[in-house]
Parts: sequence; structure tokens; C-alpha cells
Amino acid sequence: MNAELLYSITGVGLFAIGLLGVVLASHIMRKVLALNVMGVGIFMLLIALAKRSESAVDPVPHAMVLTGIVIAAAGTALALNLMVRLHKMSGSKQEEPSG
Amino acid sequence: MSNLNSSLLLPILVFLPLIAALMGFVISRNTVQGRINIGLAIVQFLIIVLTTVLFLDEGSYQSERYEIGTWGAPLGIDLVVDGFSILMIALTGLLTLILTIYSAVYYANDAKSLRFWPLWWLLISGLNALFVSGDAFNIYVCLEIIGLSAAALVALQSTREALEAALRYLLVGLLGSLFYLMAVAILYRSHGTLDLTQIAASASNGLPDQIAMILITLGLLLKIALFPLHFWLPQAHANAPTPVSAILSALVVKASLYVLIKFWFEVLSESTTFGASQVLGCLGAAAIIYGSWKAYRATQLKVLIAYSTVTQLGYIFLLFPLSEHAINSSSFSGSASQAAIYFIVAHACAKAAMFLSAGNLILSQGSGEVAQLKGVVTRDPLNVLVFAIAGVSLIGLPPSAGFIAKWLLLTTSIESGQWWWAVIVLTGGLLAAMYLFKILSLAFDNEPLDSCAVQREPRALSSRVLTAAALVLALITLALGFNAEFILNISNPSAGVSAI
Amino acid sequence: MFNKIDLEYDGAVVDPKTSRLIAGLSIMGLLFFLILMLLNHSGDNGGIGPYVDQNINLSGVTNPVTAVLLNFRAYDTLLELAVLLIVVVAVLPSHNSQVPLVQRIVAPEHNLVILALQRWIAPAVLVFAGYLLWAGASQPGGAFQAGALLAGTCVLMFQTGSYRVNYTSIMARHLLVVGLAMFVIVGLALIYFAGNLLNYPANYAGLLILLIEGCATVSIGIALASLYSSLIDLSFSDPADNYRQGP
Repeated sequence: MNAELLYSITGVGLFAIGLLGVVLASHIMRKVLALNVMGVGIFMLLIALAKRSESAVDPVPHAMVLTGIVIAAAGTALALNLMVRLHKMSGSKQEEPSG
Repeated sequence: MSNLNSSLLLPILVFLPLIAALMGFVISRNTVQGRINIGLAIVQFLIIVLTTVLFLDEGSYQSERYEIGTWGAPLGIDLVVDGFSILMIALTGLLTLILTIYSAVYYANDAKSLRFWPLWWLLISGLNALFVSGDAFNIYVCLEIIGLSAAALVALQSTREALEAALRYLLVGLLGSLFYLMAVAILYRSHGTLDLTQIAASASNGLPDQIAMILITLGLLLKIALFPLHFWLPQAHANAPTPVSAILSALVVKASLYVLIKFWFEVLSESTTFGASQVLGCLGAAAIIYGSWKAYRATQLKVLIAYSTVTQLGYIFLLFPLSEHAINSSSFSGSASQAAIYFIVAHACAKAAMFLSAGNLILSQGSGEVAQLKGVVTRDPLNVLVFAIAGVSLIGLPPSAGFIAKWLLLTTSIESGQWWWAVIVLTGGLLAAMYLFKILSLAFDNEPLDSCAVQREPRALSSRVLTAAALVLALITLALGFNAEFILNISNPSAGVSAI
Repeated sequence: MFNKIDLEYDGAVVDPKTSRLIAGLSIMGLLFFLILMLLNHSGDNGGIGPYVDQNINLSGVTNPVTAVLLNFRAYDTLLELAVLLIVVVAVLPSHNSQVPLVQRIVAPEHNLVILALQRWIAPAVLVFAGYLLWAGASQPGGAFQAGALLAGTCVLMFQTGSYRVNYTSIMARHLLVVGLAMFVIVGLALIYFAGNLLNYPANYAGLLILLIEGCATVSIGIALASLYSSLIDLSFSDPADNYRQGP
């Protein structure tokens, strides 16, 4: 087992953990965080991908990760904004993480 | 301009809406927005018409490529059009034009228009970019543009229900995109390229491709809202502003469907199996039955229409089992794909018309309750007419686009020996008639409504434009019923070629 | 499994145990196949790396990641800026062009730590952002890293109470779009001058990339800072809640 494989397996593991979180978590905040964990898992797989051959690093997965991070940050920001607006509207209903 | 080629116009299709969005964001004056945006929509429509005409004129129906930065795949990103994507682009251009005119009136004196227009154009640029994209990762970015802007547009309404629906829609969209991104990572790992054509060339029936196909299918089914993953759709589509509801049902779900069809039939067709296509068909059938039932039970007009979208998407999924069986290997050609293409076009026009007329009825009645529609035909006959025409198309009665689409589906399922899908199609038609005639019979009810506090106001110019936009869409739906050949000709010869 | 995205907002919805079990098991199954695939299929070893190496001299920069982001796959980056703009449009409150971009207000109290950070750290971070932008051409760095630092500086400077930023002023709106606008303008101008979208001429490639990156840095910085403000300042995010819909 080489380093690339270890990172890849960790990546898909994080993806699965995040997916589990999205499915099972009951509070919306946890779901948003779990989505981010899923994203990080994919990014990790991509970064491991970049170093498959010994000689050189493939820059394309790195670029994909950079693009993906910005998109993930944007999506998270929009989700959080919607949550804050809902929270303002509905008061205490959001407070209790019932999970 | 002898060397003018349809592929040269592809970047413009993406950049024009982007420029429109930037202008909409910077220009702050509410009063000029509407006119500028109508102008831009007309320009975009003309460019799209030109692209379509050039594409058809070339006559080869080969897929055309545009290499951004002249790098070419796999290093750069290529834009690709074939018959199917040209058809989707043409549909986008037509609906954008009508819906932009509608929105310009709808948002004429509304402070929200400052937020609406940039999001609207970003959504359209995302749609155009998706339909011309030939690169797996680029498609991911386009899906995110569409998903985020659509969710933001739903949230425009700022009611509690709309915000909840938007949040759910956003998270579902993000989850679906992440599934897709995982598949892209796997595809890049095993193929070493992101270009769809090159992936297709080296695709096999191996484990990586199969897993990628499963992930893509799951992720996109979430975004398309196939039963039982439809739970987010009715609320999102029903709570959005009317023009947004129309474009969500008509184009946004179709965008994900387009990607799924592309992967299923062109890129990873090696990994699809007969069993999987039957599962998709069964889910589609379940969507038809369940969606019709929920539509029948709906008390809100827009919720009813949204459930009808769930139903109609179910029909399109019959494409998967039917085309699989017809030619023994899945490719996007033959009568099943024609039926699906026709269904996409017919549903887009009819559903947009229906949402617009429903929005007009809600505006004039002041309430979205189905019960409020009692006797509405005397008060607002034109919009009821539009609703009825669109309904006729959705049920599949002649003469309408929906009739042709269902006819194609029926003949295909009989020809391919899978008669059970024909039963589903017929049952679905009856169920659709059930919930739509419920509305119409209410509307034609002569009994005056007891609590009828709705006083008739003189029809303003704005409401006439709103009605006219809906009417135009309804007439297009009818016209499509008479000109079936036109649509089929755009998509048909190309479909055989582009299927790799 | 299909209960899986029960995104009920105020959800007291607790899945029954069986459906949790099913969801867990199916995800475990997916994980199993993913790991199986990773172990058994090493995949294509080349990737696009060799192509990048061949063409890096034409790209105008020497850092391969920057070359991919801003030249070979610049179209993706352009659309990514559009994604950022979507969120900014969705989150920003309604237009208010009266108040200028930055306003100095009299803070009721001064926090010594924050004041010190503002005086000492903020200028250094700003300089470092500029350095990252410049360094992106030849080593890890570039517009996004610099933009993130810029956003951090903005947060540090403007969220302490001595300044108030109006992200909807005319100035701020122009700054927010300048990255995407420059990208679009350069891309379209190159259709005219070089015959192809985003086809940088070799001589000017480095300069054009720096120009685009500089504008993008400003836009990204302001955008991220405005997103941050929209989350912490509740009065900020008040997008026309009370307007009636439609005409």
C-alpha cells in the first residue's frame, strides 16, 4: 500500500462519512457540515490522484480542487444565509438540534 | 462570411447572458431594467436562431466543436453541439424570450427586480453553458451555477415557505453535484481525461465506469426529482415567483436530464444494463401514478402543477427501458429517443404556459387556493383558456404536442414488445385528465362563489402582457402538435450520428 | 435509503431505526465498492500532466496549476467567478447607493487587542496578499489565495466597529463584478484579436493573466468579506422582506 492509495481510501472514506451525516443528521447545520465533509473527501481523492506517477505532479486535479473549494464555499455561504434568514423569521425553532 | 460556422457562435451563447447579468448587477435603475433585458433576450434569441439555422444548414448533423483557447481536448475545454443540444439551446432561447418579457412586466415596479435580473441571466448562462459543454468537470461547474442560481431565485419570495423550499432545493442540488463530482474524479482517475468524447472512446464495462455511472445516475436523479427523490420539487416549484416556477419546470430539471441522457447513452453506454434501465422505467411509472395522485389531492394550484411536473418527468424516464430494448444496445437514437425529445419540448412549452396562466389567475384572484377558482372563467377567460390548452397537451389529447409525444411513446412500447409501459402511459393520461378536469370543471362552474370578495379591476396593460405571454406559449404548444416533423428533423439524424 | 435527505428544517423527524440501518448499510456498500475499485484499478497513469508540461512555455506562467486555472482551463475559472457572483447577488441586501463604500464611525469602545491587530497584522496580510498574487505565476499562490487573505483583512478591518462598509454602494458593486467583467472582456476581445475565446497571444499571456488575476483578487476578496458580513450582521441581510410580489 503506497501513500497515494492511503490518501485515496481516506478520501472515499470521508465521502462516505459525509454522506452518512447528510442522511442521518437531523439538524440542518449538521447536514451542511456533512456536505462539506463529502466535498473534502472528493478533494482528497483528487489530490491523491495528482501524484499517481512518480515523476511529475498532475496539475489538473489541483486546479479542479481549487475551483471546487470556491464553489463549495459559495454553496455553503448561500445555505448559511438562507438558514440565518429562516432563523430570523421563525425564532427559536432552529435552536434545538434534535439529533 | 462564408466561413461562419455554428460552433463559432457557441461562446457568445454563454457570454451574452453573463454580460447581461453583469449589467443587471451594476445598473441600479429599476426603470430601465425591463427594456434592456427584453432587448438582450431578443438579441440572444436571434443569435440562437442563427446558430440553429447554421447548424441545420451544414446538414452534416455531426457534432461541432469549439476549442477554447485553441488548446483542444484533453488540455483545454471544448464546447460541443449536436442535434440534441441544439434543440435544447433553441428551447432555452425561445422560453427565455417569452419569460423575460413576462418577467419584465411582472417585476416592473418591484425592488426585487434588482436582485432578480442578475440571477435570472446567470441561470440562463448556466443553462446555455451546460448544453454546449463537452467537458465533464465543466459540466459540474455549470450544474452548480444552475443549482445555486435556481435556489437563490426561489428564495427571492422571502416567505418562510419559500426560504425553506429554497434551502432544501439548494442542499439537494449540492448533494447531487457532489455525487457527480465524485464520479468525475473516478472517471479522471481511470481515463486520464475530462473530455466526454475521449472518455467515451476509452469507456469499458469495468468497475470504475460502473461506479461512476451509478454515482452520476443517483446524483442527477436527485436533481431531476424522479420519484421517490422528488420530495423537494413541489415546494420549490410552487413557492417560487411565477416566471421562476416556469423556467424551473421547463428547463432546469431538463438540464440535469440532458446530462443524464448524455452519460447514459453516449459517454458510459457500455456500463448501462437492461436491469438498470428497467428500474429507471419502474421509478418513472411510479412517478406517473404517485404524482397524479398527489396532484389530484393538492389544494394549491401551483402545487398541483408542480406535482404534474413530477408526473411528466416520469414519462421521460420510460425512454430508458424502451430504447434499451429496441436496438439491443443503448444508444440515443430510434423512436424512443424521438419520443423523449418530443416529450421534453412539449412539456417545457405546456408547463411554462400552465405556470404563467396559473400565476396570472393567482394574481387576479389574490389566492392560490384551488377552491378559489370556482367560476373563474367568467372573470378571466383567457387565462383559463391557456390553462386548458396546456392541460390538453399534458393529458395528451389531440391536437397538441403532448398528443404526439404520447403517441410516439405508445407506438414505441408496442413495437418493442414492452406493452406494460403502454398501459402506464394510458393510465397516466387518464389520471392527468382527472386532476386537470377537476380544475377546469371548477373554473367553468356557474355558481357564484359565496365568499367572492374579489372585485373586478379594469385590466391594466401589464396584466394583458402577462396573459399574452402565456397565450403565446399555449399557441406554440398547439403549433408543435401540427409541426412534429420540424422538431424530429432537428434531432433525428443527429441522434444516430452523435451516439458513439 | 430514500428518507435520506430529509431536510425538514424544524425536523423533529427521527428516522425509524430500520431506515437508518438501511441507509447505513447501503452507504457502507458504496464505500466497499469504491475501495475495491481503488485497490484493483490503478487507472490511467498519465493524466493531463504531460500535456501541461509540453505547453507550459506557451502559457505565460511557469506554475503549472496557475497555467491550468488561468489559461488551459480558464473557462472553468470564469464560470466559477460567476458562481461566486450568484451567491453575492443572492445574499446582498437591496440596493443602497447613498452610503459610500467605507464609512468611519465612532466606535463606542476600543478593544485593545483588535486595535493592535488592525495596526500591525492587517498591513502585513495585505502585503502578503499582493505577494501571493504576484508569486502565483511561478509558485503556489494566485488569485484565490490572495483573495481569501484580502477577505480576511477586510473582516479584521471592518467588523470591529470603527468602520462600516456598504457592500451595495456603487463602488462596491463595481468592485464585486470587476473580476468576472475583466475575464469576459479579455476573453471576448481575444476572439476579435486572436481569433479564439481566451486564446492569449504568447507575448502578452503573462500580462493578461496577471491583469485578470488582479481584478479577480479584488472581486473575490470583497465577495467573501460581504458573504461573511451577511452572516454575522443580521440587520445586513434584509432582502426586501416586506415587498409585495409582482405588479
